[in-house]
Amino acid sequence: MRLPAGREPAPTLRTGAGLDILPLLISAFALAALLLGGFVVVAPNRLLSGTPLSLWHAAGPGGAATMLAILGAIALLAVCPAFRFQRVLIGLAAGALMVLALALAGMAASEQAAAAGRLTRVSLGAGFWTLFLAGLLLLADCAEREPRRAGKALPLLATLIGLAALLTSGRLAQLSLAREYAVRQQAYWDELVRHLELTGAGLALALVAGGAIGLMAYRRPRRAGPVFAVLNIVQTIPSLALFALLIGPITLLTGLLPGLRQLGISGIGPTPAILALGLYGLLPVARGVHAGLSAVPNTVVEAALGMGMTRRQIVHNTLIPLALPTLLQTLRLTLVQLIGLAVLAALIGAGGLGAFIFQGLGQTAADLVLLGALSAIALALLADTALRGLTLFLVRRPAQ
Amino acid sequence: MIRFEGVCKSFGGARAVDEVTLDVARGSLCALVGTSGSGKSTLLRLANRLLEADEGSIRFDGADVTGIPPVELRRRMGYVIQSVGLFPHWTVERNIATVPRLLGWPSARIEQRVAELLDLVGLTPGLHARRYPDELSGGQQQRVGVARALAGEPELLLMDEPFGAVDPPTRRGLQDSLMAIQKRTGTTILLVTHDVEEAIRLGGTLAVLDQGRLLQTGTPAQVLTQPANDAVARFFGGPLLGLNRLKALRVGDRAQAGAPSPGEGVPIDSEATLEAALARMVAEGCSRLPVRRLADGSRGVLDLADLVRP
Repeated sequence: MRLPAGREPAPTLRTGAGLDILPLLISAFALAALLLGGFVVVAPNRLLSGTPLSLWHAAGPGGAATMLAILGAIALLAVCPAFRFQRVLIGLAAGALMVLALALAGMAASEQAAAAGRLTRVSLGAGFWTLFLAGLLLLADCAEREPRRAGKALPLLATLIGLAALLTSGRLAQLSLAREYAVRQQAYWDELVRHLELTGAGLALALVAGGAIGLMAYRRPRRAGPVFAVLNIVQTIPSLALFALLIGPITLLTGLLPGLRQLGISGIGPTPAILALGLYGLLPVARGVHAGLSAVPNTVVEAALGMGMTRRQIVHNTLIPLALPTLLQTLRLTLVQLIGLAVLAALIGAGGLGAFIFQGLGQTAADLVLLGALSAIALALLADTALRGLTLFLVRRPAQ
Repeated sequence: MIRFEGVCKSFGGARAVDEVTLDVARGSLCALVGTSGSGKSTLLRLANRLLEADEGSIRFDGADVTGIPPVELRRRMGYVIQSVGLFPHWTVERNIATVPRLLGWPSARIEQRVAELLDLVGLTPGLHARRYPDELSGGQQQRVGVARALAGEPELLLMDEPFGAVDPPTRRGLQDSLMAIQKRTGTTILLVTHDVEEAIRLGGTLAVLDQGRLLQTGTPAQVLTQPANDAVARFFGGPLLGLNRLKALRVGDRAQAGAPSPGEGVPIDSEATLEAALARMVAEGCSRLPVRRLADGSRGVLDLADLVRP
């Protein structure tokens, strides 16, 4: 059977039968980092820098042994001859690694807090992050290369459920990150929602305007060049500058049209932030729509026309379904990009998760910075995974 | 079935189709032949109004095509293009069902029609219906393209270099299938090709185009024995025209009555081409072949001299 373009199996780092190098490398890397770096960092208070504590000391022999056992299991699964559930099992083990690492860090924090008092702060150390990242990489590798949809989803869902259960269980409450969260719980959720609102509004703007531009460029190819040249220039403006640049014109506009101010539009705050996010999303959306539609073979459109489909039927039956993979990918990339960029909105008074990052920077409180940054990263990863899942669900795959 | 009358079409000042008048009779097969840029594809696309004529009129089943909405007109004509243009995201059966679905047929009738067509074009419903186009060979894709074009029971089938993209043996198989299909369904076919052999093989009427003008129409035998001018002769082989003439003429056209002498081998059918007869003479090292007339079973002989007789 011929596989059409774009559906070839992903190239693998496999040598010979069964041996899968990538998981092996990742687990070896995680092991080395674990032995060399501190698993958690213990500081006398929130602002002072602390001393690293190894996994052995932080989690005790039992915890360390379990961790090593999981790493060993991953390495073993990677070298054994290929079998049906190999990738799924590696993915599940990677998830277990992540959940266990977080649980052990939480337990270490509780012990340290009990021993050394309330002011002591236990942060996550380089060893923890390496392990966590290794788990994430292994999960991504499994999701990428496992052929079955269920096989892709199972380790991801199991890990998400495990992490969520851990986060809500209270076992992590003594970690410095959790304590930063605990003192500003209400503000955290407000800013999270605000972050999503900014991203959503910016995305909506980018989709509508960028979609229209992409469609125009597709229908009038001669105009595509100049249009994309202009959008490219917008893209080259440094993000922070674009946020700041919009403050002036909008203030001027609200000065001229006071009615706008009653609608809640002002030079600082959400309006310039949403506008800037929309402008940033413009190029990727327009390009994606243009590329997706242009990639639909002309012959297919001509055949559709020749068989007597109406314009609407052609769009519905050929253009949209055939451009769908590219359109979904565009949506995914733009959303992830805007979630990251929305962090900067805090700088012009629009709020969002960036607020914690800049507060933390001001107070030199690293864990507050992390609270904002990690939340933004988690949002981006979740959005990415969800849209990848949606793509898999909507786009036809060939029979295996 | 379809009649072009004084049809002109220009693109940016250049005449692509120039004063073409052509009548394609119901149930016949007409091959538009000519070099690239001779206007044959343009003429085809004028028929289903993918292009609009600048001058002249095109009548489809007696009615001027400009009076029929393009969408309705196209659903009454099948359309096959060289690159097939199958919908890659639809299965074979869904592809074939395109026009019936557009016409709003009940699903039972569509299902029956799809199975019937797969059978007609030589594919196996159980084996191919649920496949996607990219899981088929080039020749099979062409067959699906033909089935899809025939699905809506079109009165006229338009084919633009339908077999241009497949290898020669597959192409010959597809040509045979097409002739068999036409025999069974009686569909009128207007076909574009730049392949001389294909044009001769499919028979029917040839319409030779050059630089937008219709140079000659006639059966392959007529066109090849009496080319209207140098351009036609050039297109059909120039100095090698004589060889192509052997492909267009039948043994029956040249055979003489008479009893074959004993021991002259297996008789050749009077419907075989002179080319096939010559090939046998070369292979068997003889200059005479016994001939069996298919119609009445009478016998005759074909001499090498009969082949070259003017």
